[in-house]
This record gives sequence, C-alpha cells and structure tokens, in this order.
Amino acid sequence: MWISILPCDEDNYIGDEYFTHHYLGNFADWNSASQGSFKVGDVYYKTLDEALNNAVAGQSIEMLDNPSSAVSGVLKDGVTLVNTDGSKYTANGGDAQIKVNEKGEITIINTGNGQVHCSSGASCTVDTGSGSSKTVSSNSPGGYDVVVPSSGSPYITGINGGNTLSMDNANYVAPGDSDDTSGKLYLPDPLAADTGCTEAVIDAYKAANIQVPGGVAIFDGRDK
Amino acid sequence: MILLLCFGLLPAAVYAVNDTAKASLSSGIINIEYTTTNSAIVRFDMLLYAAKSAENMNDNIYIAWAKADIRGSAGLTSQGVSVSKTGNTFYITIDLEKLNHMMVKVLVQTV
Repeated sequence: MWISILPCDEDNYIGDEYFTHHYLGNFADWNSASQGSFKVGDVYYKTLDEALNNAVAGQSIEMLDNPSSAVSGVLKDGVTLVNTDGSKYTANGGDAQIKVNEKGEITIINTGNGQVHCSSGASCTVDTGSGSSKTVSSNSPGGYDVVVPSSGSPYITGINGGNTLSMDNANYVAPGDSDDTSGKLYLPDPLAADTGCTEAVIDAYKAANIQVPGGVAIFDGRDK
Repeated sequence: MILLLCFGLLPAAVYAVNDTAKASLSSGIINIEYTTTNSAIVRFDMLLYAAKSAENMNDNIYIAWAKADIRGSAGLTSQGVSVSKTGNTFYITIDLEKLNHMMVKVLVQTV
C-alpha cells in the first residue's frame, strides 16, 4: 500500500513537483480485501450470511458495507449486529429472524421467545404479519426492544417513559416515568391495539392519521 | 555501488523540490513528517492506493486532509487525523482505525 501526500495552499494543490509517494507496506490485494465487509472480532467475512453463521453470543457483527443483495438469516441470541451507521441490534432471550436489505435496513421478522434490543436512534422495520411491516425508531436513552411473538401482535417495549417511538410521521409517547421501561406500544398502531392502547399518546403537534378499531380515522386537525 | 543499493531500498518518494517527506505505518497509525520552506503550504491531502509501484495510482482513495493554521491556532483535520507544525516541519498522524472508510479498515486488518 502506498500513500500520496499532496501539499496545498489554502485552496489548491501547490504543484506536481511537491507530490510525494511513499510505500507503507505489503497489504493484501486491494480488491479481494475490500470484499470482507462483515467483521466479527478479528475475522472479516465476505458475506453477511457467513458472519451471522459464525458469530456467537457476546460478539458483534460490524457491517463495514451493506450486503450486495438482501440477506435473511438468524441473529443468534446474544449477538449484536452493528450496521453502517452505527446502529446496534442485539438478540436477547432467543434467536431472532432478521432481514437486511442492500441499503442496510434491518427488518425483524420474528423474535421467537426473545426480543431484539435496538440502540437509541436505531431504525428498524418490524414485521407485523400478512406481508405488512412498520418502520420504527426511538431516541430513548436506553434504546428500545422489539418483540415479535409467534402469535399475537408485535410490540415495542423498553422505552423510557416519556420518550417517543416514531412511526408513520407520528411520535407515540411511552407511558410511565423516565425510569420506567415497562410500557408496551403495540404495532401496527399503538393507539388502536387491544392492550396498552390507552397508555400511549401521540406527541403534540405531530401529524398523524390513526386508524382505530372500526375503521374510523382520526386526524390531528392539521393534516386533513 | 553501495549508494545505489541504499537508494534502491528507500521508499520511492519523489522529491522535485527541496522539501523532504517521510511516511511510515505502525500499529495502524500513519506518521508523516513534511519539511518545507514554502510558506504557501498550509494544507495536505492524503491518498491511499494499492499498487506495486508508485506510478500506478488507479485505485487510490482519498482518506484524509490536514491543515495547519500558519497563524498558530489549532490544526484543522478530517476525522482520525492530527497535525502540528514545529519550525518548518509539519507532523501529521492518520489513525486508520478512526477513518470513516471501510476499505481502509479492511486493509489494516489484512496486513
């Protein structure tokens, strides 16, 4: 590998005669090396499939690049997936089925008996069944947990009370005090769900179009 | 003869002016020393490239820049880079692990 040093004045290269090139060492071939975009510990895997298969509890899979095509696989219990923007997704309490598309976007298909913990600010898509999904995110300091049980509605929990879950241009406020993370916001609509719906509220001044049971649409008064 | 042999072992730096430059890599840190009497030089751009010779730069990637303020304030740099100036010599470090570029990180690991 080589490094070139290009001296400049305030705005431009100062001249070819000032350019210098220095040999830094014998690295692996540039192209073959760049294919190992999924790092687990000190090992680089060329595909996300390989990384998912080889990572064990307590390890992180660092995505240095997005997969070239969508990958469906199992995020093993205790394994953390770190995507290219630094967002972290950790399977807790059981293996989770996930899908990662070529944009690096994470869809949580099933969490079995466990859940997937998402870091604060992380965005993820949650499978809500019948081919539908919802993309959610939260800036709750401790992150949030996604639960997709084998039966029943998927829900979001682990959000510090008073913090919000963002979905469909609306912010849903988690119930309880700031140290209370037990609230559950059910998907696809926290306000329309049978359980927990009376605890969630919509953040003020956020546009929302909420479908409640019976098909009645509620608008926020600004966005009809 | 000895002179020729020694010269052949040196990094293939091109010095067309009186400036001197050194670059080395150790533990993921590139250390650069650049000495110049040209007061117009205040900034450096750095490129990495994989090639068997200095002439082949087809696969280069821009990795970092560093600007030492000649008025004495702190140096401005891209992520993972530091710069300082003592006399006519600029001292630049590039921490490859802190660069926001995945190809560089991969290359560091495969040394």
